[in-house]
Amino acid sequence: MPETPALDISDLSFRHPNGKVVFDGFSASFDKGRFITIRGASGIGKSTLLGLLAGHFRPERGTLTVAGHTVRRAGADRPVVFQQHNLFPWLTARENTEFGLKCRGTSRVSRRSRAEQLLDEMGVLDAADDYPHQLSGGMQQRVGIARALAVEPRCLLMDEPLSALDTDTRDRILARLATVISDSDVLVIMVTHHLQALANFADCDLQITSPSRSICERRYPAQVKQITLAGSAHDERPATGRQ
Amino acid sequence: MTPTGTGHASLWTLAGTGLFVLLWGIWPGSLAIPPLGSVLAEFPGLIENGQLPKDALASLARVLAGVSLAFLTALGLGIVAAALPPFRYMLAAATELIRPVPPIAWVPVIIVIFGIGNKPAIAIVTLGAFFPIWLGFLQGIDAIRHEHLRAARSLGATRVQEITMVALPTMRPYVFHGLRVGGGLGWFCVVAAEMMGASSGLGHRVQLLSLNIQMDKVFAYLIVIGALGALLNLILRALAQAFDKQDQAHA
Repeated sequence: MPETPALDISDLSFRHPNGKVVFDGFSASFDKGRFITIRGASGIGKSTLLGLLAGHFRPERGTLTVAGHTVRRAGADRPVVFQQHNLFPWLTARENTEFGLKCRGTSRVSRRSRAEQLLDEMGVLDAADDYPHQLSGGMQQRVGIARALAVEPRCLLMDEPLSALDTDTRDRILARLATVISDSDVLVIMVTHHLQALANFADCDLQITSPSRSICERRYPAQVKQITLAGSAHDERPATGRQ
Repeated sequence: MTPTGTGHASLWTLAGTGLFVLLWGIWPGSLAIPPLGSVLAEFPGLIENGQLPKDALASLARVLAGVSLAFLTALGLGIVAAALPPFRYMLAAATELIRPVPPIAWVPVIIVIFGIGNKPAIAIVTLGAFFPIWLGFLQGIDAIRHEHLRAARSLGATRVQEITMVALPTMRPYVFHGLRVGGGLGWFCVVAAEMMGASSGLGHRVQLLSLNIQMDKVFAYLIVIGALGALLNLILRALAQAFDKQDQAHA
């Protein structure tokens, strides 16, 4: 289980280079959780928030804490799975999965073995030697998730990874994610519009309602409760709003 | 049978080449265009006395030097342009003004600067090869996606790894394409440059032979110039295909 808090955003202010204020004193917090969804209207700053959590952007003010650690810069403890252009097109699925391990100098044999294990878990081992353009959208996303998991992150940040997928593929990926969450200590934070599809998986929901307001809702979906919440069963707060 | 299928296209190419050779073979010959038989008969002598290989090597060495110089210059400028984006816009006007000028048009200026000999020919090749290679670098820089850099960063890549493991592989197909076009233009330029002041090389020899109206030998040299140019193109294309997995990805 990640250390407390799972996610804490305190007094966050950020504006785009074009001057548009995205966040102005924005705060949100979940003391426990394994699968957090981020929702909000188009253009309100969901992806920007994910970029801030990833360390790709620097806030003007405020602090962000993910899985108990304050965000200072991008790092392999918080890889991002993007909606599109997720994989490096010049690398095979296997090489993509090995990328983070190669960066940290893991031996060829070890990274190959780890990549194959993850591709197998994601159900795409047969496509290990294929290039991204040879894979379907769903397979690309699964390789993207395998690549992110290869570096053994504390947190997996996902930017609308389900948007371009059909229902079957989406459910298959979610089922794989649920297994990953149950087998490891990884925290998943996902920007999504598909709350319905996530009802059985996500245990926390963060809605961005304005640059300074949020609604934090804690849920207890049967499946997640069963696999993850042993340490937080007493934390019965069905709807803790924080604005 | 359609002429557009890949297999059929090769057959048509072969048929076209055969027809061309046949037509030249039955050509009785004129002062400007000698018959094929007498041109082919020149080759053993030209190879035996070492003149043709020596000239071919001199031209190839100049192309190699000029294209390498153009590549290194474009690489240096490309690194600055990638690090400081305004730099490329500072060069944009000069690039667009100089690029349309045929490299051969610079011969008078280059002869004044470098005199005669090897240097001016190499300088002309460098000028001719530079712009396609430079444009290849610029296209490659434009093709680098922020998403890929961010993904690499979030997977633990250092700044150096972002360059070597993301930026360079992204740029590679564009740079190779520029190199291929630049290499072709370099070959085109070296022959023309050698006709205007060099003391060796295929272009220089064609110029000398044509002054003596030895058209059989001129055509033998022209065949070698064409064959070496095509070979150069084939080698650069094969190199590009060998290194560019990304080409397949963009297919």
